[in-house]
Amino acid sequence: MSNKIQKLAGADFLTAILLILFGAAFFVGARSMKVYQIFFVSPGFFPMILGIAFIFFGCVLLYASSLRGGRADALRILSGANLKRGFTSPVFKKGGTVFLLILGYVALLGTFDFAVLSMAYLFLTFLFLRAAKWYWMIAISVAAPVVVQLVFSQVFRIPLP
Amino acid sequence: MEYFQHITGMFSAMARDPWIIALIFGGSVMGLLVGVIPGLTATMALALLINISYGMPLERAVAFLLAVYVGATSGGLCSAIMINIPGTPAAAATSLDGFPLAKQGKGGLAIGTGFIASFVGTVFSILIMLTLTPVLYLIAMKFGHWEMFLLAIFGIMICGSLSTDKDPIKGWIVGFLGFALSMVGMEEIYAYPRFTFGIFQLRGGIPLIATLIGVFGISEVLGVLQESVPYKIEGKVGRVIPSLKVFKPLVPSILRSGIIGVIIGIIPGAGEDVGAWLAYDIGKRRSKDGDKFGTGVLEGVLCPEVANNAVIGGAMIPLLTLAVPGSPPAAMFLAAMNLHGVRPGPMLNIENPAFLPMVGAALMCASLAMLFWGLLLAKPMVGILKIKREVLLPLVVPLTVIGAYSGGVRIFDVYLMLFAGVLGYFLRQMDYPLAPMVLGLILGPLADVSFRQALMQSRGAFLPLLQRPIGLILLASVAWLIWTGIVRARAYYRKLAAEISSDVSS
Repeated sequence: MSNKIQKLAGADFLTAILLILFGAAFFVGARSMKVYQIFFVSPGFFPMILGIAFIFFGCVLLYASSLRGGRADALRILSGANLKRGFTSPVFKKGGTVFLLILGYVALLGTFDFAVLSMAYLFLTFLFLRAAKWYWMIAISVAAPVVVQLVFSQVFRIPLP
Repeated sequence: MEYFQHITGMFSAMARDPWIIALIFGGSVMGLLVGVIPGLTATMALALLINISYGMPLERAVAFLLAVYVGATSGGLCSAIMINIPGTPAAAATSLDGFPLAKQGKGGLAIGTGFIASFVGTVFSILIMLTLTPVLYLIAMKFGHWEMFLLAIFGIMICGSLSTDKDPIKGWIVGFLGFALSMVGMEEIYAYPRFTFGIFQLRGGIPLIATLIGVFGISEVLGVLQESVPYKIEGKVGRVIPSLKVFKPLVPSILRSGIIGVIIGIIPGAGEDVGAWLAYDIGKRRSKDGDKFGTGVLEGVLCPEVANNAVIGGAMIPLLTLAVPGSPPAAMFLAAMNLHGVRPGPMLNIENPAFLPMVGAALMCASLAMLFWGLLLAKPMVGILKIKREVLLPLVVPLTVIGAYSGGVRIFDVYLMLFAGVLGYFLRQMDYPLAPMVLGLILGPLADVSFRQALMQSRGAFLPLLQRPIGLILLASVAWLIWTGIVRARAYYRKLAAEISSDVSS
């Protein structure tokens, strides 16, 4: 339990810094927007308040995580050894590969036929996850996109990418 | 009188349209099936199936989406009872007594009781919705710019407070992040493009449906596929339909849980899971058999199931009167209604007086369909849990792509969906709730425009706010939420710090 609390303290510390930077950027972006008549009715007024709110929340989170040793833990999280351990962990490899497969699928949308691309995506994902026996993997990855394409484009008349 | 004629007229119109009945029964079974699968929530069910409704006329789209909503909210109880993993977060409290019942071989009875409780909860909330909403329309008509602005802030603050159990600051941060995302694109007063970075597609703003699909769909797929916890179905399902005698002593619990569910539903963004936990907790303290809760009593299944479904009708009340969704699935429904040209809010009753009766009639039919399928398909639905998540979840991805793409017919929206999915995934990993972000995205433009218009009217003065009673109530509520939230967060952070220091010293 305390290990998770400690990890979250480090993550909160890093989030707090990102939040302060994001808030500052938001504030600067809002201040640079065009002013019509008076500032408080201009497009940048509300985003400017949001920028201040993010900086405030970032400071609160920074203080709260510091109470739990967040700074030391953030440094430990960012250390080379920890990053190496994280990147080589089975959970990261699994999640990372699943994400890369989705990314590849989305990036190639519009270049290949939707059904063909979906078949390839599903088959590769099933293969990576060892989801079923090989003939089931082929059957599902071929059948599902065909059914989806037929149902959405023919029955519901919905445009597909 | 005219209002009741509208309601009865809408019922008979729905009953006479075989397409609507077919869509309600179809949507209900689809919702139930999605709800049964752990990791797929009611919001995700709507996200996946919203695209089917694009080409439908309004009545059919409303009927279909509400059937999906009711079905998915109820379906989660099967897996909560049989494998102790709730199909949806709304069913998490159900597993506390449902799983022990399954171990005793009474899983079917628990499932049957759960579906009947869900039906009663939905019907109870529909009756409250049909009674309260016309009254609230009258109050909502008195809302000016100050009130709308404060309502948006109140929505974010209360949603942030309720959606995290200990740390409201994280809920507020995510809510404001939603506000920030909603600032992208042309603003509504001067049509000035904000934070578009020269990207033409961002001028229209961040598309709501694609973002919701990403936040609730892709992030769930990424999160669930990382886990490798196998399911184990406990015991046989057995008899499903309980004797009606079981319910007689439970009437006070049903009423109490129904009221809790409706109240939680009315609170912006709080959602079904909050209602279920609260009803379970209060039920445990108020019941004669409170000490037996957690050991496998039907009342422990009934309380959360009545409440989580009662949230549905409750969530429709602020959605229809103020365009503020009471739960994340209601936000999805709101987005779908916007696509169909319906603008919920104070003017809806004047512009489209038949809409509220339509929602009531559709919800009533949807709850009947849910009860029918739930009791009929309880055993096959448990069978679905035998299919591996590694097979089911990748199949969701092409559906999310279609959902994001078909809203605006732009590949760019699919990229945004993926970005929102990754953002949602990281926020989940760091214990940030996602509901406030959705609410922030919806309420952001309302807060921005109302605030600036209020200041424009008052020539920059804040004093006129003090002359508005509803505004003052909302302002006091926001101040109270901030104060209690800070006190809660401070206590939580101190407790964590004490835990860590005692750990280090030992």
